[in-house]
Amino acid sequence: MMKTNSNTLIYSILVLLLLLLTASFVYEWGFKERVEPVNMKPDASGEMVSPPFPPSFDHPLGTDRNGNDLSLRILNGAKYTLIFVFGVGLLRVVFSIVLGALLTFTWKPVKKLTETFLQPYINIPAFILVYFLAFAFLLIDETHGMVPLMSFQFLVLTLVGIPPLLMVFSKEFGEILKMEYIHASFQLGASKSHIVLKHIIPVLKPRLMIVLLQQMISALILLLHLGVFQIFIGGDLEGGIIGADEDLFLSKSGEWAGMVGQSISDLVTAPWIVLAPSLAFVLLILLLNIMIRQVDAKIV
Amino acid sequence: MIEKSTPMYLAITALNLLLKLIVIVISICSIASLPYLLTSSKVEEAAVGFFPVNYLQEVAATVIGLLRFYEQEETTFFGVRIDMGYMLEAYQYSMSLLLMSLGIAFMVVLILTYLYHLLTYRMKKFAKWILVFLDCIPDVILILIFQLSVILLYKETGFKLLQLYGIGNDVYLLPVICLSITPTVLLLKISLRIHDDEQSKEYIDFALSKGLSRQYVFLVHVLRNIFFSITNHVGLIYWMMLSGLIVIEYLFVIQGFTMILYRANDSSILAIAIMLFLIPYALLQWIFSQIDKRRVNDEN
Repeated sequence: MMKTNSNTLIYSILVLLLLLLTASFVYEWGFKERVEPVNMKPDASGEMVSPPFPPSFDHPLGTDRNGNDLSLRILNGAKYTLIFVFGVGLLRVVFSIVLGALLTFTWKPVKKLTETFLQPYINIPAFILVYFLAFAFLLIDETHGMVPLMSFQFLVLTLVGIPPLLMVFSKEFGEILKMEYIHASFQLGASKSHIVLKHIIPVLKPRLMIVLLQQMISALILLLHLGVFQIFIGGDLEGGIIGADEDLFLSKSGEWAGMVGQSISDLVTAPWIVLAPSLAFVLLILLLNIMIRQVDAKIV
Repeated sequence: MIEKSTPMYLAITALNLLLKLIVIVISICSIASLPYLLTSSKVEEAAVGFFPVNYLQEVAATVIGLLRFYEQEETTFFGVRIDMGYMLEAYQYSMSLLLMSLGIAFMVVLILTYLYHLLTYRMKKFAKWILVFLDCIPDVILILIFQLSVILLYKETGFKLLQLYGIGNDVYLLPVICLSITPTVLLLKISLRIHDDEQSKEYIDFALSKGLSRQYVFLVHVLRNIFFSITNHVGLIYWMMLSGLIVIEYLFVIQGFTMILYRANDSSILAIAIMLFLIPYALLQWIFSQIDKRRVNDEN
């Protein structure tokens, strides 16, 4: 009974996220052109005021400085955030399994040296590694749109997460290799790839889902840190805010972490511009965490 | 197998250690030279691509630069002069922020665990749910909310609770509070789980049947076990705090040590900065492993 219960929760969260994704695409292709930003609006006493407007009945999350509705912007950015984070998580897991398997079966001194070599990469915050590689982001030719830059950023974010995960997998592989049935299989003439594919991966399978979800969360947090440092997925647009005193950079893709990062200076004057995407962020992490708990409960 | 405490054994251990150290130094230099992996070093025709040869040259140059660091001229970046004195001062400040936060987190967790111990079953469940929610809020968003509430408090009541930004004198209180939130949540999560696990163990029943009071058993036995289990997670905590520190120093405009990480353009300075960041971690790890060893010996 417990089991079906937890499954329904997992599937309903998945359906929810998929709906969000579809809605985001439908909005981009269907409605986006028709939605006009609100420039001026009478306030309670009948006087005309300019944006940003605080949350109201018309705009449940308020508007930004250009009068765009924040909830629609969050909807628009959802697809970038979700697809990006899912892709990064998935690729990290796949690469780490392959490399972890390779590392497990390498000659022991080489293995030890590799592990020592990777130690600093694991213990330095991933953000720093991305930051060092981010100089290249600025130089990428933007004439072909956001796609080259985004795929490049995608690659960097994936690579940065691999060393810690690789070590986790290599350790787990080592533990499983000590099992007796592995010895028996080796005695019967099984090859290493057979052991990995038929004996190790099936054992790890239930945990892979959890690892994937955890990697998605860590990618989200990494995106947020990058957003604070004005490194946005899909590059930035100069200026873009009507009536801004200084040149501010805007996230071009409108992805959530970028939305938080670009409007940190609005924290005091119009806090909802920062808090609305933050709320979306927290809710997404909450959903992922609930999924982790459910999968975890199912395993035990 | 060579017997312990023979000169041969000692020599081999020393060589092993030296080899490890060299590998780690090279690894750190390879992190510090990462910007050269994806961008060509020529300024006039900066290009993005994959430059493994350039990169390896840069790694070698960094290693050599590291060996010659003492004879290096002071370098400047963004108008801030960097020499050994400046680095040490900034380092001292940043590390004291980090260690203070870690200490506060430990203390708060021990107190909260004690309070948790006193709660009824239902309240415990409730407390755990609060923790699940808190766990979902990324550190950046927590810091932003904290900053906002301090400012709002000031606006509403005119009460200046804390100095917010780091221009001028060193600020301690607010960064330390912000920095200690994430490790507190994480540690509390671990600590409560261990607390619940310990409750079902036999030695508790035994101690209680011997006539010891619940408080005594908790304070003397359970708390000690929790403390030791927490120390196993010190790596993860240090890692999280380091990335938190970078964001906090950036958001609070503190001229701290992490600034070197994202502003210096000299690879050997970067390498030294990374090294200095990893040394406390290695020390903490070593101290706790020693404590752990003694503890295991005691139990035997």
